[in-house]
Amino acid sequence: MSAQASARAVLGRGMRAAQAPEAGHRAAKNFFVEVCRCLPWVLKNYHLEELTSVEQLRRNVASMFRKYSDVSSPEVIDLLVYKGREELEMILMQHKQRHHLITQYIHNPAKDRVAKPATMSPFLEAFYKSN
Amino acid sequence: MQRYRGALARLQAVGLQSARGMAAAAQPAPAEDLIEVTVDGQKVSVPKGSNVLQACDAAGKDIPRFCYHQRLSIAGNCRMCLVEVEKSPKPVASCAMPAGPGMVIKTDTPLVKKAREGVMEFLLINHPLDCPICDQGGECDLQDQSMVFGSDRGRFTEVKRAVADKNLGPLVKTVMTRCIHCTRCIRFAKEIAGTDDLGITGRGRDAEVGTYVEKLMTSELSGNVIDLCPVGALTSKPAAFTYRNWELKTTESVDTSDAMGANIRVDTRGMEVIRVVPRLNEDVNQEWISDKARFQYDALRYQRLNVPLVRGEKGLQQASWPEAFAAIARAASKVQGHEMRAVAGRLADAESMVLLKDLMNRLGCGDLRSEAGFADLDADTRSSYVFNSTIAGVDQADAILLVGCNPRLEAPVLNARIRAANLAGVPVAAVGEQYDLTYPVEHLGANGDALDKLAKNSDYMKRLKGAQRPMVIVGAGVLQRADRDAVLAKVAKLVEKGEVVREGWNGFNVLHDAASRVAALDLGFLPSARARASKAAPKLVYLLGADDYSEADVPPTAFVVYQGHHGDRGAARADVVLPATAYTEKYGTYVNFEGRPQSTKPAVASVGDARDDWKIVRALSEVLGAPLPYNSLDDARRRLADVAPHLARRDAVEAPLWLAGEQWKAAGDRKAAADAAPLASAIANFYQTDAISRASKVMAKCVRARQNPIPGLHAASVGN
Ligand code: SF4
Ligand code: FES
Repeated sequence: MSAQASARAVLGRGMRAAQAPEAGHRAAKNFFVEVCRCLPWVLKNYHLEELTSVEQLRRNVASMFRKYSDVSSPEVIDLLVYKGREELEMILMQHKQRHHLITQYIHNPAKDRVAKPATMSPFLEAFYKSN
Repeated sequence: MQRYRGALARLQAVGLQSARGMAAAAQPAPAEDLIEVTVDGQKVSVPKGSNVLQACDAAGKDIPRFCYHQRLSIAGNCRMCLVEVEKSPKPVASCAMPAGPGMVIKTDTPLVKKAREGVMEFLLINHPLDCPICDQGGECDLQDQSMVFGSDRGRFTEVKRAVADKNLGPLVKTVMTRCIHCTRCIRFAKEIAGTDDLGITGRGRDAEVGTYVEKLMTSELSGNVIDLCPVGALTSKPAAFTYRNWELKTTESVDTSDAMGANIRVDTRGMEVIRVVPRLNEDVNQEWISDKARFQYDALRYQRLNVPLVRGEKGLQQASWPEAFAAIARAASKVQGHEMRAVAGRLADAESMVLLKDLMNRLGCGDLRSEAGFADLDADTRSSYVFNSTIAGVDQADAILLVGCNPRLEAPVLNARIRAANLAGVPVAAVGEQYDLTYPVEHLGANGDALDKLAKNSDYMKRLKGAQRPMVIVGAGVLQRADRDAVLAKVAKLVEKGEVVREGWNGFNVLHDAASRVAALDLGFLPSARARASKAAPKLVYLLGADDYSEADVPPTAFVVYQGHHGDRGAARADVVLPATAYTEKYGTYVNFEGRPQSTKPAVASVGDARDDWKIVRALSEVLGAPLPYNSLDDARRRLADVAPHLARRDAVEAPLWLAGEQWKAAGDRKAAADAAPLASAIANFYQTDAISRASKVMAKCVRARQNPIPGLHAASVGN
């Protein structure tokens, strides 16, 4: 499948996912597979080869899916898939720019959001800020 | 009313003390010593000897006044205080008229109103109408009283007189045309300050207040005439034309320029301290402050440390707080606890000292000292290092012996109080170097031998014994001597033989000269036994605002951390400089030489990247891996109260226990020999004693002015 074709497929199926709330986990899995299919094209189109690889990107995306592994309500899953698709669409339509992808997907956002190691007491932190 | 209440409270306080077993010299006036007068139909009782003005005050009637001041003699020359007294043909000047029993006084009759209006008109004849450019404008007695009591027009159409301004030195600005000849300043200089600098020349229309020949005011209290002058004739020279009083925000704080802890009011505008004026506290400074306390504030703008500095290849370089702390941590990791030393400076507050002590102890260091001497003073007994009689006690003393101290420079306001006692007939004697203290002092010898001679049944000894409340005041200079123990042993003998400490009265006093010293001793900011015994040179020295440290305390090879607010000797020597806040920018507990804990309050924000002292110590402790559990000022103060419970009772003196001289035994046992050098004060230059006053341009001008007090007369001898 060419890149454009897969993009069209995604856009077309976006409607269907929204209409089928009972699809549940399967919808999410399908969506993940869809995203994975797009990744080589994304890598090439946004010139990300110099920064990362398809595998790496896939791992990052997977970790973002996994962050919501405890979600079971079909409505929420549907919403998440919907938002994910929105994002994917923007990437495929090139509404996003290269730096968006770099900041959001190349560094593992799940990992990046880890809180600062607590090496400092609140007192010291306040002390460094001001008197 | 306020004033009279103050007087009454004073009388009551005296009464309380006598109840505690003091001799009965000053009792509150018993009922038969009260007289009853009628003020505007209201009966009031006042002590015998009061004047009519005091009686009116007691009745709550405000009498306008210019020349009367309750701490000065009565001049009775402004005539503003006229009231009507029944059976007297003319209105009388109430300040100069003693109140008699049964007097009927009227303060709101048409006659009084007319008289006041008339006096006001006369006063304004020669007073310039320059209020818009006068620094007193807005807080001027003449302005206020002419608004209330003056007429809306004058009949004077001739030319107003003009008077040449006088040069009174770098502190007091004069616009003599404004003078209304109340003579408050003259009486202050003569009676309180004890320097006969001012006087009146000429008479009638030509009367002028001045120094006759051009001569600068040579008193350490000269700034107080600015507060006393009811008009804008005497104003502050350093603050001239910089403010209008209604723009200022006031903060009640405490002075740290000497160990007296004078109560001050810090007036600020925005980020700047505009002026410092005294606050009434009968037990401490009455209503005076020294010139240093009043005028050193300009230094808060100069030479400030506002960023952390770390010594690199190019000398001290700007750094961030984490970088500065990291540099200290690196240095500290290379040395052991017992190779460190902390030195507290003259201006260190009690909170930062107690935290630094805790931090050092946690790091295994017991070598804590105060700068400039007596690291090994025995501070086990509090009564051996504080001013036991209290400052107010000076008023009750009937014999005063000064040992190696110069109160005029060490605590000018205390000196004024001693002078007042002296004027009231209390003899003052001194052992040690001779100083001009503004009152006659019987000089009894210069060194330790003289003390020995005194103790041996001398004539003076008999007088000391005969006195009811004798006072012995030992200067801080004595404690800094190498032969301190020997001298103190002699003083101890003198105190014992002269029965200076007796039932209800402790006449043994130590007069410290640094604001931080008593707190340091109270908190045990002293070297541990091990540190005392150790001869090894420390490898890391922590200077807590110490600029007057002795070279021996800071070896040349040591890594030096300086925490403080002014770039002075300590910062120049340091490897890491941590910027801290000055006394006008923080809450800090200072214990004065009586042992009275008082707190400064922040009047302005801290400069640049500076932090409060206790916070710096707390933050550093965490970086050094020995975190202190104090996260707020209250925590720090609780810790202070744990270590020294009396520091929790603010503004009050906890009378220390006198252990019948037991504490001297140890000193006496050491059998050191006293050397023959005269007992001298450690302060030679009143105007520049610490990092703040040394950075002050005004204080530098004062030093120069003192070297040449009579401009034009070359190389005049300097008072002291
Ligand atoms: S200068 Fe001020 S204090 Fe002195 S006599 Fe004149 S008005 Fe009074
Ligand atoms: S106050 Fe009485 S004459 Fe001046």
